[in-house]
Amino acid sequence: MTWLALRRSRNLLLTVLLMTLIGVWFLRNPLSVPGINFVTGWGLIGLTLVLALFNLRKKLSFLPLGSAAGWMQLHLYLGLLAVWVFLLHTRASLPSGPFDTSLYLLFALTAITGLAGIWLSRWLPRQLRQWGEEVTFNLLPRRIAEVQQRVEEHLLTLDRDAGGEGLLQLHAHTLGPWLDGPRDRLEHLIGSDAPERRIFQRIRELERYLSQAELDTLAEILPLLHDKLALDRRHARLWILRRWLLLHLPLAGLLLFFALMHLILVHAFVGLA
Amino acid sequence: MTVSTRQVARPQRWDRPFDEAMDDSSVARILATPPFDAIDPALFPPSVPLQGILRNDARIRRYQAGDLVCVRGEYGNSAFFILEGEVRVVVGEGLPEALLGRAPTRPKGWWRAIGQLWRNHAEAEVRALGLAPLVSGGEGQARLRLADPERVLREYDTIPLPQGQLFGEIAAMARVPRNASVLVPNDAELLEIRWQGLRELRRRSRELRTTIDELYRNRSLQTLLLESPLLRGLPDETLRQLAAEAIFESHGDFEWQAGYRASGGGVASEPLIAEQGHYADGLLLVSGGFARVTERHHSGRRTLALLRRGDLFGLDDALAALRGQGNGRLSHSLHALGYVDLVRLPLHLLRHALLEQSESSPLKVQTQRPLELEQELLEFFVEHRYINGTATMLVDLDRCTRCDDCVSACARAHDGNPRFLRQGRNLDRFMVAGACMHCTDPVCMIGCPTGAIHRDRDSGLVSIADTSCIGCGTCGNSCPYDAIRMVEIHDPQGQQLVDPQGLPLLKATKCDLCLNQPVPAQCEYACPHDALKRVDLRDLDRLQHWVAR
Repeated sequence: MTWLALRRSRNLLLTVLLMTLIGVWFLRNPLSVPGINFVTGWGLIGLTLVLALFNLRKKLSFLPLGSAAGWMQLHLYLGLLAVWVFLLHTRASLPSGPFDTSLYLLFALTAITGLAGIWLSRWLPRQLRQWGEEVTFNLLPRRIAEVQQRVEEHLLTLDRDAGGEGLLQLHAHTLGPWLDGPRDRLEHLIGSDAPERRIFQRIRELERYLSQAELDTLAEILPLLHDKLALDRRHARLWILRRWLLLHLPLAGLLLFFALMHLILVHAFVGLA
Repeated sequence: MTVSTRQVARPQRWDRPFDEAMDDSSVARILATPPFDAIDPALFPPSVPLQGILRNDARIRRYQAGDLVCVRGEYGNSAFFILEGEVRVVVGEGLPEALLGRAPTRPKGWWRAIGQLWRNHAEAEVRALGLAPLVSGGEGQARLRLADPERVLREYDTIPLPQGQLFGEIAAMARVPRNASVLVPNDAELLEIRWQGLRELRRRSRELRTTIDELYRNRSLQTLLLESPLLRGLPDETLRQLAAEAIFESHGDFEWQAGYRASGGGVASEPLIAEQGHYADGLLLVSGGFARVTERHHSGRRTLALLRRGDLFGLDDALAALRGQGNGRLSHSLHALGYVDLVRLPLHLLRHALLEQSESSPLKVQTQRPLELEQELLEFFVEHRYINGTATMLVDLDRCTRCDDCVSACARAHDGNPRFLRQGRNLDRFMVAGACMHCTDPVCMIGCPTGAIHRDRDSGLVSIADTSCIGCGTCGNSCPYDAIRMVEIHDPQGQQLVDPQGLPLLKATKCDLCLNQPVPAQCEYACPHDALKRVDLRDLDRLQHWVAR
């Protein structure tokens, strides 16, 4: 077993053990329902605060506060534990009232985006290796622009009057807009081959009507079109890898706010109860 | 978009002479002293005259009894010539750290590190104006002095070097740590020549080149023989015979990086030193550089091992031959990688030592390091000379989410300016990113006119002294791995600094492994996915452990 797999097994086992212990305590605890809810509630707040500290730690990368990888492990498994405690706290039942419903939804969405994020982080990097050279996200538009420029340079050699119209029209209506920056993000994200089919099917349909000069030029630009496709695929995946956090972090921030409000309200109304 | 600029004088090579006190009379005195009196000034170009070298790249230093000229293990960029008096070279293990009163490098404290969050400039590459004192650069620090030099001379073995001798040239020329401590028993006067000056003198003067090369060969050889576990136990007489009869060889190109950049790497054209199947002509001991051990595999050659300083080639075959086994032919080939210095040791002098070693105790010397690294990965590192690295940035592309947390962490530690590029050559899922590898053989240091790029005394890391960098780009052009970037600089108000001709001033920048930060190598520390590692390619077993994790 590799070291990473060993670590995963160990951490999962520890988490399951903790969940079991908490579950057993929850079921056997003689405390009344409000009493138990205070304990699980405070536990949940504590867990959420610790989870939120991960973002702060990232900003303080120059201090010896533990490696980011270690913090990530803590974040992952404490997140799982938080879901379990949340289910115990809510008795796995749906809330009533707008505030509780909002809080419930925020927690659920934060957890879901978190799980989605870790899945994306493990699955997408392997895919990125499949498509050509490693280009950073910031440099992708420049690379795409270079491909666009090279295609246009080839097309410039065509003489419209001497039978270059077909390819030039294809470029004007199809290739040109497609080459202008990253395209078809959603389709690439879901793994659809529709963008590829759109471009290359059009080319196949047109091929039999092209002159020899156009066919020669087409042979030159085909590899560039494949490069563009690979860059688009890369762009889509890098985009989602960067953007999912823009969903997860604000949700987590709102969750923390709502949770603290909930804490204040519960304590304020305890006396009345 | 208009960029506001500010004009300043363009820095020149000799803006910062080694010593301001060097004047015409000092230079004249040196030129009247052998061997400098034999050097023809006409051999030097007007841009780099002999007098200019001595005035700007040399300095006269006066030492008192007990002063340490240099310390074993530290990195130095200069050689010393004894003008008056003598020095003593401490042999063996050298002086203990306690005697040397060494203090460790002090990184920033927590508060100063946290202060980076708001003190980092928004503008890129900001530099304070004015000449600041050199904070590093090798030889600008106060010398050490022993509290009780007489005791040291009594208790430790030393070799005297009299007036007229040159020493320290190995460290200066080979970019390696000082191999011995040198102390001054009585008042003495030395001429210290920094690497840039030594290079020019050696290049232009045949006599000095011969002297320096001969010293380099002889002294390096003696130290190397004593370092080898196989040879260390030999009787003194045998060692002396070995030193006298051993042949010192150099293969490849000392400035290999020029050819490497032109060819893009590869090993096909590397010099073959010993061919598999040929008869062994002595035992080969590596004294500097790198060598590759291979075996024929189909139509090519498969890398089996890498040899560095202190490693032996041909030992197994020699032992087999002495025992009457085998046919005396080499079972593997040896190639230079870039350049390699070798010592060819005659077998007849080693016969007794080899037989005694193998019979009485398990032989602890290995002909090659046992390699467990995946073959393809090994060949990849060898072909592209990454085996030179002691802090190579390796990225596992299957775990890297391209979040750039590593880049952000690097930027936070360097005033908002990241010091590496998260891209580079890759083999399958492993990418060698564009960060300084802090090479065993830092070829970037060749040719620096001011010594701005140097090895840090304490850590051994290759650093750039920003205040003495004149932005010539020599290091950037020399680096085979494109790890050094020349950047345009600005003043604290954001104005770009230009010279009177309007050309932007540049500075060389590269990864410094966060030397002055509370946490070193923050790129690795900041990666949340265990995707980035600074690996020491001298330890391939540990690398394999990480690769297989």
